[in-house]
Amino acid sequence: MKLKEKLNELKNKVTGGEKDSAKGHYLSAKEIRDISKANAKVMMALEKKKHRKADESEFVTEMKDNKNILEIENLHTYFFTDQGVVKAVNGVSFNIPKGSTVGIVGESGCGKSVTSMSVMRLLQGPQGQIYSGSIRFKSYDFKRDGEGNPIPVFNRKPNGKVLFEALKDKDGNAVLDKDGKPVRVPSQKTNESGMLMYEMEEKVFDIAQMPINEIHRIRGRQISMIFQEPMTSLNPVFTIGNQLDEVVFIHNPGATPEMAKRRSLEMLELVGIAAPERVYNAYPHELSGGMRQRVMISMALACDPRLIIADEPTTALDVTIQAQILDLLRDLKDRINGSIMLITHDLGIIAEMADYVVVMYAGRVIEQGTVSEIFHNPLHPYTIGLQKSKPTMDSNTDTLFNIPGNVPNPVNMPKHCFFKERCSKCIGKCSGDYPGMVQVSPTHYVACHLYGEENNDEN
Amino acid sequence: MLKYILKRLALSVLILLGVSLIIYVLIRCMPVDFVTQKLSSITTTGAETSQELIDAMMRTYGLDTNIFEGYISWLGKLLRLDFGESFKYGIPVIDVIKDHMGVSFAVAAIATVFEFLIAIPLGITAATHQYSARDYIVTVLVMIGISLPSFFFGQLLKNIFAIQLEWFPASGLIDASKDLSGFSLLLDQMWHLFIPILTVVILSIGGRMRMTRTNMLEVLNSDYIRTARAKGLKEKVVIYKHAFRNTMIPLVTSLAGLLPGLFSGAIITEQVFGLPGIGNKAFEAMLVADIPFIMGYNMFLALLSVIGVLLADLMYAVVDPRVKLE
Repeated sequence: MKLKEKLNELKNKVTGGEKDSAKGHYLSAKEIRDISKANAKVMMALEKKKHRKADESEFVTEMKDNKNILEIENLHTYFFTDQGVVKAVNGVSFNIPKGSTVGIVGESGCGKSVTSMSVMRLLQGPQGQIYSGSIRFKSYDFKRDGEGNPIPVFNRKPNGKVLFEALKDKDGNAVLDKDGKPVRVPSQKTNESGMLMYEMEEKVFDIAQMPINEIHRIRGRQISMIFQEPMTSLNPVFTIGNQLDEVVFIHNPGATPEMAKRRSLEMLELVGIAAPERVYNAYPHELSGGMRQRVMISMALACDPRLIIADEPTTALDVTIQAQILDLLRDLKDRINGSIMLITHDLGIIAEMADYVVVMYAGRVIEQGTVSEIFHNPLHPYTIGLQKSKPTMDSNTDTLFNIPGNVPNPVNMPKHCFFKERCSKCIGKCSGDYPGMVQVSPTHYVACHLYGEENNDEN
Repeated sequence: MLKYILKRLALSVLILLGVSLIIYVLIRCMPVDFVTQKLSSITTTGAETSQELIDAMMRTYGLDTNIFEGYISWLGKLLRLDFGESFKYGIPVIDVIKDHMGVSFAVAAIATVFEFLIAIPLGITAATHQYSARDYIVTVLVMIGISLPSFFFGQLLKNIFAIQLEWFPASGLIDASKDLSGFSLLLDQMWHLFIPILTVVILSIGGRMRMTRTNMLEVLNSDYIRTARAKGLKEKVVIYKHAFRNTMIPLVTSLAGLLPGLFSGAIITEQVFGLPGIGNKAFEAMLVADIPFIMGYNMFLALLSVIGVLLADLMYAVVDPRVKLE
């Protein structure tokens, strides 16, 4: 509790400097020293919190809506730089319902990737830190006994008694005890892909509050991630097989090398690789970009995750491969009955893949709704501009539309709406406080003064 | 692979020829030669010298020819595997090298092992705790190590451990007061080598540690490390499996490049501790322009360098699957 109070005190010190936003971009050496000094204190406190040992009760919570698999609420992720605190994610809230695809769009640097990194807790510390907010995730984890070990599910006879089998060594010979009798152990149930089964339970974790050494329960097994750069995202010195097996090993206690290999080959086949055995033994540099992205996807799927975060999965691929990869993702989502958080700046991909869309701008959600609401009835001027700047096949213009201006400096964000300087529909109220979220339909929300309740008459 | 090695070895012959020519020309261009030095030491004792004596000595040592003729005759002898006889030591060059190599090799080899064993873990912890107190402490300490000159630091250690504390012998390799043989002799020699090795290790850790740290930091920031973390691997596995293997690539290749260093001897350290190593001998031979020895010693090192570079390339192909030799 003490830690928390101290943390809050420090936090106020660092972020209290919002008022002098009129200051230019140039900082004196003394100012930089002061900033880094103040930052170091907060960073250290946050790092300490990240590496603390915590009881499970500290980060187990309840979902607000049981239909959701992930609820992000008022998430703030900051980077503490010597120029000041960069609020990369500044109060983001959205939900991912079970079995759906949520697309997150926005221009480069709007905080899409940082949001996903926060969910995975992959932020580069000590500079990058989840500052406040919560990320509630409905996890489906091994039930653990008093010592923290998973509880195996045993094969049972029809009368309910546990079935025993002879213990075998590596070569398949029965292991004998001192008296020469075969050693008998309870036989553990395996699922259809040959993995040992354990008792599972559903629990809601607040990922933002989890200590970093607990995050392995979720990362990779329940939430997995597909990265933007398949060319550099695989370790060049290990074979594909080695890297795939690894995932199976860490998330399936008691898995043998044969089980892992069988599962890996199964996964490679699932993502449409024609010669899984050959790819299994290949090194990453021997594969093309599309193949590597397939391998990345198979790696992400190896443990049947509940949520897949795809961070611009097709940006580095050529167009024909893009379509294949997207088809594959959509197909796989249904097959493993998971949800996808799809991060992209390509509206075409969103239209094709997503059920819900979250539009982000400068670290905040500015509009969210179903895909048809966002595409047919975009409300926020930024969303409208984004749609207009998409090149279309049937238009005959020489130059593409672009939104004028730049994103405000992330260190000194203005008090008013971040889009005000670039907006073509500004009204007097825009110079006031940052607009709150306005609900325009049961699923459609927008953060813009044009749609505030008081303005409804004017529109 | 075999074809590649053979091709490289054939190329090495050309390189070695070039090296030998350059070294020979350089030595012959030195302002003094062996005969002049020897005669000047004779004249200081008051003895008389004549022009005939000088000419006769020049002929004896083969210094009466011009540089080109001298080189050809040296090369001719070399082709018959004759490195000649050292002017200074009066025995075949090969024998001098053979007799004094052991000590130098022992110091360098043991020091290299410890250098790697200490520097790599230090580099890794400094990198994984970048900008922390640990990083700064390690960095400052190894920078002190890099910056100390060996003649100073060697003397300092000698003063502390050998003269003040009297834990270790101050110099030499053999304790004349004892009659030792076999294992106990080896042990006694190791005892004598302790401070020299310590000196070399402390002075060389810095560079290796900085190299490890830089490599590790670069690897830790790469995309595949993020992937490894995203898979749910424990931080230990991420660092010691995924990052370490990649960090090792340049380190392992630099290891092969150390080959000549193992045999060349540490001239200054050997001087400070009075060790009869090859570095010490080479230094003395250099002072009196002992052409056959300097040529033999340098050609030996050149050969080792060529092999070392070849080994480094082969090691590259072993540790990095992306490298294919052809």
